[in-house]
Amino acid sequence: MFGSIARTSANFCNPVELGGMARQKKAKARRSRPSEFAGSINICLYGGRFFIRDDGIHTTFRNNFGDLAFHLHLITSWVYADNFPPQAPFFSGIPLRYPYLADAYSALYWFATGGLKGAMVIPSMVMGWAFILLLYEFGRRLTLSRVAASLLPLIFLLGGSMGWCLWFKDLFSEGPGATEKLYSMIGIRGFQWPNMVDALWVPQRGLQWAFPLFLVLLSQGIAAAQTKDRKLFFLLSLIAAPLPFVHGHTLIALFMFALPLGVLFPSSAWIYLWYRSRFFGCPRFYFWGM
Amino acid sequence: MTHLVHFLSFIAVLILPMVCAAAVLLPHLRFRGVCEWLATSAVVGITLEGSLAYLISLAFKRLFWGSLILPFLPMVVLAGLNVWKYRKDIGEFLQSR
Repeated sequence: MFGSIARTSANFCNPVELGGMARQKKAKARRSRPSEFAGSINICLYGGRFFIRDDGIHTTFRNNFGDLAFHLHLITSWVYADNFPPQAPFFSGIPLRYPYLADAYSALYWFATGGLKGAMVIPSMVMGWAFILLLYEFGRRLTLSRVAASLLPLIFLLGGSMGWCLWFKDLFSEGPGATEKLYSMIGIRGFQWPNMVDALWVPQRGLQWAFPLFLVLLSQGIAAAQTKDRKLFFLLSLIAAPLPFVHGHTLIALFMFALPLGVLFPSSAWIYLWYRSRFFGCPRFYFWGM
Repeated sequence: MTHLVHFLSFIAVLILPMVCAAAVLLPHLRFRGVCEWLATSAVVGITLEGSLAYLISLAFKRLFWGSLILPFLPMVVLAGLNVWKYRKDIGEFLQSR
């Protein structure tokens, strides 16, 4: 079913070269418009790293070669093979201990709608836009400055290298065709480091869910600490409980991040958040330890 | 017909969980604006409903059973919230009968 995850050039991956030059010429000939610009940002961040074509499934970034195949394997094992309780795809008979909620949700979405690309891209897009909004609001809560809060998502998402300068340039000249290229880790241009979106956001699907959930917990934790609202902390511990199921490292990061926030916004209720979320996450911890 | 089913499934999987989470969490969480309210509803709703749907699939060892709750769970939760909100009126009505 899944033919290939094709690799194009090492430094400047461009599946258009595989797909056909006619499409590339058409994209170049097209004038950019504002609606295309907004759509291109959306597609580039979340959908432009994943292509389904007649000859197989393509991706643009080398970090995604292994990860995408792994996630697709998990999703198809649920949709077509009822892989319950889930086994690790590479060790038959061994329980799967990877945090796989994002894949499980995509499997449900695929099962409900019958479309693979939508199942992969649409939940990621929703989470991505929610993440940007939540990061802005978290910045506002932390710094009380709109300017600082506006800079926070930009620095976070565009960090890693200055390849996005080239992307903006190509976006205005080529339109949506520019979304199918990769603009980080281009050795010949001196961009040695990967972009946040390419290196972590797209390959690690769990992070697409964990980042916004993490920000919800921190933002609401700050609000609860400021108002000394222990009921809200209890609710937050319920929301934090699925975190080991979403992305395990994020739970550890949450506890580490809660310490300095507890100093900035002192409240004894941070401790309740810590141990109650541990309590509600106990089944998952037990499963990890088996 | 197929498109209608897909459209309804899309609403069930992505829109209803957000509405449900917003209805449940709105009285408790503290938001700075509509954007944060919407984003939080999306994230929490999809996460909690996804977790529950997966656990049901796991219990029955079929993805089908987990997928069934996607359209129904938010409606049940919203109905339950309304029942809880008007519990006194419902109680009086039942006692009067």
